[in-house]
Amino acid sequence: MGKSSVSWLLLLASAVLEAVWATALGQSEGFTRPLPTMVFAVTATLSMIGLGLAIRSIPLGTAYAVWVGIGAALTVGWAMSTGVEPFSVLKVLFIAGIVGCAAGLKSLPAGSNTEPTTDDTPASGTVAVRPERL
Amino acid sequence: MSWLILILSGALEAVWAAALHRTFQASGRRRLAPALLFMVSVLASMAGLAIAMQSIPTGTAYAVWVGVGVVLTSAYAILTRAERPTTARLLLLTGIAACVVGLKVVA
Repeated sequence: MGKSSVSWLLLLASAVLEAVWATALGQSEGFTRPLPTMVFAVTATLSMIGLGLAIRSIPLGTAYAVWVGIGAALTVGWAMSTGVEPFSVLKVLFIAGIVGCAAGLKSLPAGSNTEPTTDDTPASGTVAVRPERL
Repeated sequence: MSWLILILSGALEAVWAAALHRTFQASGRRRLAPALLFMVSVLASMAGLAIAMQSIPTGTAYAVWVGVGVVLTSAYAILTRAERPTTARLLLLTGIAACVVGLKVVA
């Protein structure tokens, strides 16, 4: 349980860095401005390492979606709170939706084959397969 | 042309996420190949996004890039049995993708 919590903390920290590099990438104007390009390179590297460590115990699809979602929510939330972007109820709702979905994913059982869990029974008939939702 | 680059960059997101996954699962020399694939695909993906952002509005570009990435990464994780496709998980993943797209389209 402790290992899982550490992984989720790592994942959240990586998501914060993802917001930093996404902002820097936007300001780098195709890697032509040196400072944003450097900030981008450093934060992107750290963010990827954190994501890599986190997906050793968090399922890949979940980790990636949370990483990207929290990153996007922070980017827009930060832009709104600093007055760069106008405040909008819709944006706040979307941010709440991302955080809510991420929290929901965390509450699900791991379901990963990389870490043996007591409830991980591949032949279980309780798994609802709904590929059409993709 | 920008849109083609953008969608390819989104697809590369799934490639690097999968390669990153393998890199951290393997040990010793077996890490080398996925690590290299990760480096190449992540650089190409970011470069593609940066190029696309020069002619497609940043918010729209990011939304499309992320949307393609989330869908393909989840599809890979489910197809390789790394992740069980429960209804709750699929709904929550779709929710995150939809909210990110909505956020960027509104912005």
